Amino acid sequence: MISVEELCTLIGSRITWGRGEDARSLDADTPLLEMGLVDSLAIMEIVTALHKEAGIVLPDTEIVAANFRSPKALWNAIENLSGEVRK
Amino acid sequence: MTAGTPVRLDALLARSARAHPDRTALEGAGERWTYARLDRAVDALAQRLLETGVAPGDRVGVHAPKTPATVIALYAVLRAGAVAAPLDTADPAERTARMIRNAGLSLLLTCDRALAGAHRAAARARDGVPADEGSFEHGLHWLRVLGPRERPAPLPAPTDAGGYILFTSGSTGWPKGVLLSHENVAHYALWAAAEFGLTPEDRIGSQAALTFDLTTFDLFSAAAAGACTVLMPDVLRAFPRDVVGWLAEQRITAFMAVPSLYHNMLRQGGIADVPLPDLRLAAFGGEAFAPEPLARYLRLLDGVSFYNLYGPTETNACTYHRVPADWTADRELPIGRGIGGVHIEVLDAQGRPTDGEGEIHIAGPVVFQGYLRGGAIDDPTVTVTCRDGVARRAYPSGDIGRITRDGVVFLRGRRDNQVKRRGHRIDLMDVENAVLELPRVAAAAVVAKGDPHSGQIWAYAQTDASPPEVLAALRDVLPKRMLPDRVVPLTALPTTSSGKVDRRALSEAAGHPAAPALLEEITA
Repeated sequence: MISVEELCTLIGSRITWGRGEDARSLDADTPLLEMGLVDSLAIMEIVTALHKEAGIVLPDTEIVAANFRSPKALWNAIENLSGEVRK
Repeated sequence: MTAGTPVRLDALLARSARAHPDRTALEGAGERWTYARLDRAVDALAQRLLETGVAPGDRVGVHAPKTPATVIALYAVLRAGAVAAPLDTADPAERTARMIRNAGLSLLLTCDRALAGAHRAAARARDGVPADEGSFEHGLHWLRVLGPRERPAPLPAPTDAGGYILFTSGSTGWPKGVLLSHENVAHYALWAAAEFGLTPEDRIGSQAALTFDLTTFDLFSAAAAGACTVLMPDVLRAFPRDVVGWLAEQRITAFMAVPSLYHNMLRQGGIADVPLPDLRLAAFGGEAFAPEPLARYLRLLDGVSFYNLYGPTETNACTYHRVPADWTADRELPIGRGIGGVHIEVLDAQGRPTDGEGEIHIAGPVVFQGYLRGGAIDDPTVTVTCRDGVARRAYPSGDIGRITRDGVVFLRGRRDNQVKRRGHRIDLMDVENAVLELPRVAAAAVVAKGDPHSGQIWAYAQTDASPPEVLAALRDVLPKRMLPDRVVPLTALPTTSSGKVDRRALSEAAGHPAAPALLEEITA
């Protein structure tokens, strides 16, 4: 299990922040895609980190824009994963 | 089109508006535009631009995400006789400001969503002085970056009547504006429409950013054929599964993308499980297609024509190769022969045509006018005596290749510091300059890594700043795709016996026994 806050921290650590910005500005509703915060590389890093750090395997079918709109959207997607795919 | 009258890009739209007024020209953001309606909107906006003081030959930046309004803005700039420069809203303001200055842009067009970023870039380009602004229809805004008295010298013909600017990574840390005439782009767009047999029934899937040269096909070849351009929402680009779903839902018939996206659609996007009955043309370019995935695509999408296109931004796509349906991964894939009217020549170090490896030179109507630097044109083309004895104006591409007797070209590599990332050209010196410009960096070298980090860009810097601090500072000046994968602080850069920075040692450091000291610092 992972909380929304933990997920925000995990996502925030995979974003290259500019000066004057930082991971603490990220909350559950931050529009990750609209703000251009994550690109394809960051998405793959988030997927890898979910697996390594939280034991969550996000199947390819869930790596879609709708699930990366915001940390909350990703958290909901993780919550909805069936028991078999979650380690 | 009669020979001798160069084609205008906006005339392709006008011609289709007369021939197919009620056909759909453009779809995107939930909107549908017929050719007649699109052409009228372009006319009206071009008029407003002229009233706002835009003169033929002025350079106008279009700083907005990919929507129908942005396409209208691009066409209106062209119709007003000005030069259209698409800009990426994801680029840092400092980078955009350098593009504005280098290309001599006098006006920016932007939209509600990108207005704040346009303000930041314009303010930087104007040393903090706010720009005049106003608004147009379709949610568009204008910002005047240069007043009438600050305009750079007029461009020479043919771009005094308008054109197109695309930016490319330069070796100085300033993006270079690649200045193309209407004809440079139209020649390629018309060739592609004919070669691919585009018809008004086609639905062309436009996935790349408008700053990427692939999209001139999406817009202008579609207009040439009276086909429909379907704009993919920007946010889907990073999600191969969404791209596959979008191709199916939108019934896309023709699609052009970098091989990285095709690779990802196969590996992760589930394209093998989604029927795409409407797709008939899949073109790729910008980098090499890995042989195994390409062979798989040929089996998977039976009946779809696959085309390999090659060409630096400076020349549009200038060679093509239709991949044979029975092609197998053990055969080398050429970049093909010159498109109609284009001459490709491979020259040795002495500038003579060679049958061996040499630098690929490109001549013909697709070759650009020159780079814009400080608002003025710098033409890097050379006069080349080709093997048929004819002297031609040619662009030295910096790409190494070989040409067969019947004119088929094989690509072999690069002559300089350029690398490709997902089809984007990156000059390592561009990244290195950005690192060197940071106040806390004394010396730096940016290299493309060899195995086991092949494909990565690492920055070695003599600095008291931590790697995250260096990256954060770089984030302010470089687009994301250009950021180093890793920043390695060193107390001193290794040098060769002649005292130069030993870039080879750095490229091979970590995993190379010759550089144990570096290995220690990297893993520390």
